[in-house]
Amino acid sequence: MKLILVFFLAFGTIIKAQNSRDAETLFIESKDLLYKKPSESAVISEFLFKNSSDNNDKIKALLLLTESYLIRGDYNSASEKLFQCLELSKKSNRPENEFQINFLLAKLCDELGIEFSQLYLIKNEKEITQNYYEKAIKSYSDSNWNQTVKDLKLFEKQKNKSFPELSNFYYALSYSNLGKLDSAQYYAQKIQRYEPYYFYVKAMIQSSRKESDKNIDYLELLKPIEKKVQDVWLREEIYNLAVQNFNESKNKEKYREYYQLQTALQDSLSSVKENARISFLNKIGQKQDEILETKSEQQTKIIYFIAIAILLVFTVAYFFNRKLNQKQKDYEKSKQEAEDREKFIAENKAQESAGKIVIPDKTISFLLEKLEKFESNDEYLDSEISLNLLAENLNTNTKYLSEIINTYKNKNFHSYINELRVNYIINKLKNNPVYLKYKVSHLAEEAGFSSHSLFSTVFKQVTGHSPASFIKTIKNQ
Amino acid sequence: MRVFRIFILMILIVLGNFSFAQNNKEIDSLIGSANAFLFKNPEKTIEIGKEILKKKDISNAYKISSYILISNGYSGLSNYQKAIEFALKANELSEKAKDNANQIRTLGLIGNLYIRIEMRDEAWHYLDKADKLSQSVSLPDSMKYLIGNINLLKGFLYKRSLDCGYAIKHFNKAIAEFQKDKGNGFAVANLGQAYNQKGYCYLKIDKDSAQVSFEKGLADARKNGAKSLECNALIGLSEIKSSKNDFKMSNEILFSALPLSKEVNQIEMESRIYKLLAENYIGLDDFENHLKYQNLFDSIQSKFSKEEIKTVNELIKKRNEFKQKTYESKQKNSKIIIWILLGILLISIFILSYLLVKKSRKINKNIENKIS
Repeated sequence: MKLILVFFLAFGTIIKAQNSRDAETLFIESKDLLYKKPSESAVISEFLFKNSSDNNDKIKALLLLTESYLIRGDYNSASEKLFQCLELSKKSNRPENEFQINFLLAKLCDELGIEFSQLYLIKNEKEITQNYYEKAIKSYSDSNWNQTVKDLKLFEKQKNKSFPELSNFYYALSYSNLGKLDSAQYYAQKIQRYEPYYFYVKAMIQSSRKESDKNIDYLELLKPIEKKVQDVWLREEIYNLAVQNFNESKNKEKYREYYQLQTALQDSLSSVKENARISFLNKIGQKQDEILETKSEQQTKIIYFIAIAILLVFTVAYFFNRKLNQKQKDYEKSKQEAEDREKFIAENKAQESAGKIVIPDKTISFLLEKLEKFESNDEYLDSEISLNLLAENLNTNTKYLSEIINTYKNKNFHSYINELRVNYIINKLKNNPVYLKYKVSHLAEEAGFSSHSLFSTVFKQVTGHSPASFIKTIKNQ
Repeated sequence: MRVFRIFILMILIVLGNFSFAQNNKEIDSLIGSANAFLFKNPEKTIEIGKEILKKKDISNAYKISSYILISNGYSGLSNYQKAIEFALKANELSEKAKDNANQIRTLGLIGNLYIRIEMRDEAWHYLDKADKLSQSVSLPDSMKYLIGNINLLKGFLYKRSLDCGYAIKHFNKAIAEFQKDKGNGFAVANLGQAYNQKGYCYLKIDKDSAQVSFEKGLADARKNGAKSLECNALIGLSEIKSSKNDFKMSNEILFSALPLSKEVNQIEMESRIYKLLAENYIGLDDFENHLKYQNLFDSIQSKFSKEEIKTVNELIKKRNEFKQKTYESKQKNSKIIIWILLGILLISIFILSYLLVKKSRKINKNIENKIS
């Protein structure tokens, strides 16, 4: 029946609806089967692992799987599942899972002959301390039965929620080895559910009675379970018991049979353990590398961080420096401008105080020559003429021109032009009688004066006579 | 089936040893004495190696030799971290100097060291590298044994990963290379080893080939007086006999092997012999003798398994230490880098801000002066 259920579970997808109550019952079922039929328990656990989405459920399923593999002596698969557990448990930190993981890890290490404390690189030291249950099993395998009982009692006092099912088994075995058969019997009754273990304890109690007639009997007790035992440890113990018994009873035929079974089992177990140990060590090595890797990655990150900070400092400094340089440049520019301005003002002042501009001799003679031409061509008659215009026409500046006129004609520009114009009119009046008939205003216009009154004023300044009286005087002569 | 793991490692420690016809007599004699100290006083070997390295104007070959010596010394002291460190140095230098023989030698040495601390991935990496190199370059016959060593190690690793098919291929190759220079002591020592390993590989697949292999191994071991190799081959032969139900012959062989195993103090072999004897006597229906040897086996076995557990844990401890130390030395470097960088950061912040503040103050002062 159960087998059908198991297959149904494994291959049917009907229950995919993840009913948590279903999962709960399956967990209980799997746990219950663990010591009775570990391989069937494993099928359920595998199913639970595949079909649960909850991390915690996955871990629980994996833990059951690991234990099943451990019981059946498949240490390679056990370590594989256990490492999967470790990986998953990193995310969820549940103390009961941690406890179980450590327990199984310790058990696996023990089976493979590896000291649990050597795992210090992947487990914290606190987690590595053995609990009393592990100690009890260890002292049992060392045939230290008193210690086993003591450790088991200490373990019970620790009040762990999940009390290992097999602790009663170890109680019974220890008491039977110690000869306290009643106590052994008492504990044996408690594990009736776990057939293989129950029958083995019964046989052990029987063998401890040391009554030779009954010696044969106790092996009979093991008959119904012998072929079905999946727990390799138990199987080995049964073979040992049988070998020991048939040796004592001198049953050569049976002895040889069990001796060969025992040797074959031991050989296969030692080769399985050897391989499992190597792959377990490999996995631990990888795990260690991972842990150390992440640690050094952190360091690398710090290095990068500082390097970036240095870069940042230099960048900020660079830009700040650039800003300062800009400020300095601006300052220097404005300073230069101010200096230029001051220099200019100073130069102007110097000019004023000196009163004279120094003009090269060449320029002077050149300009004087030009002025003569200007006079002889009667260009001064142009009413538009001004200092600026004349300077332009002579290809010089106003300063030079006015300076030369001042120096060499002993008058300013305006009187220079006006005198030339007045002299021109006097000349005409003296030599050309037609002009005597002209109106004064016409004469003013011809001389280039802008108005009649300005002409009269300038004429009087130059000759001492008004234009009209001057004309009269000439007519009279 | 476990076959004499510790034993092969002891033989292979000699792997890194060598003698070179170089032309500096003084250094040659130093190397010779350092080699002699290897088993008695590895510290002295390391000391001499370091002394040679201090000398000026020595050739690369001598430097490589010194590194190998130091590595071997540390490996003798079970300080695998240091041993690998120096082996890597030797390898680096031989690669730089394009010294193919030494490159293969050092790669093999590194692979062997990693095997000894059960770091197989690393071991594979270096042995594969050596294998590839040995296929692409041609070595003189006197150096061919180096290729043999690489193949022996690879075969050994394959065998332990339970893939005897590949292992046998490598053992065959190793044997072929070792046979090329029979005058070479190292080649001869490892030849018998290769035969035995091959024999144990064949034991389950092909008993006749196994027998041939063991017989060759035995002949080789006897010729060279290698006691433990001889014992090893004898045990293999006896197993073949008992598998053919020839228990008497098998027992005879085992009785000749037993004193050898005691002589070389190999508890693993001794216990194996007792177990095989016990099994044989049960086949012969001789219960008295069966029980005698079974009891001997049981008593020695419990001692041996305790010792084995101790060895395994010692090995894990060594490996942990190796990893921890490698990590710490790396850590140390990056810590130094971190401190240096931090120093640069602080100093640059300090100096730059000092300079910039000074500059900025000067400019501001100028501007203020101008305004006023």
